[in-house]
Amino acid sequence: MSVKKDVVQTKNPRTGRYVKIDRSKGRILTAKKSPGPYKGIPVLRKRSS
Amino acid sequence: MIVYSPINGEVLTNAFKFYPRTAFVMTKLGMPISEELAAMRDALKLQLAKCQFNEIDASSSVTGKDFLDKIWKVILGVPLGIAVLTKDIKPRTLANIYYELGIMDALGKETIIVKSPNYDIPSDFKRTEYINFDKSFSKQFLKFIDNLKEREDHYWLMSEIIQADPVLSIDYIKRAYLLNPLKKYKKEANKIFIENDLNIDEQSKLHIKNFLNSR
Repeated sequence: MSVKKDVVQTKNPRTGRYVKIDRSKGRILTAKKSPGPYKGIPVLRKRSS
Repeated sequence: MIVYSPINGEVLTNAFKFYPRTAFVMTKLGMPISEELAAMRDALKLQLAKCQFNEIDASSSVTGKDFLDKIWKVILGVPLGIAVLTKDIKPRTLANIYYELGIMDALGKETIIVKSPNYDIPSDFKRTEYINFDKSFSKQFLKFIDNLKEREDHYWLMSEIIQADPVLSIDYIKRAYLLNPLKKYKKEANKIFIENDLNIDEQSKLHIKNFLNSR
């Protein structure tokens, strides 16, 4: 069974940088200043529904 | 969502009109207009039409009310702002264009500058995307429109990720809807609104209902 992680990241197409989000709080935590994703944080690319 | 009026400094509580898939064009409107600017407007009009985007500018509708109030409300209702800049536009007009561009950035709208190759952008706008009006204009503009599609998908995804904050989630859906007015966006926003009705403050409800009831 897969566990749904609270903190995820996704790429902002406007900046090309990744944004880290706390799903349980509905809050954007931080945006990366350098290229590439955050290590160890699941990347979401598409909506599930 | 809290938006303060630049006219009286009070929070906006009135309904305003939405203009999905519409670009607000900011440039010199009164005559005389240089040949270069006229060519830029024509080329832009053609590209926007190709991409099924409507175009609106400050002269498109005359309400008889305060000019700034009119422009500000149009800005609130559109997804995209395009500043068209040439070297011969007078500082007074440029100041108005940059003011409007600043409002659009602050309100989370998509913005882009279309400029003559010899026009320098002020430092505060260095991060604003721009396209030079040269041989590659059409290609670069279509690339920008493609990126808008990615942004629409991003807002749709974000609305799901941040659903723990229903007001923010609906606002992201609104941004996707303004870029591409699909029925599924409003349907989802309505669902989130109904499910969280009791937890949403009155001010946010005004804005959300304005969006959900818009045509």
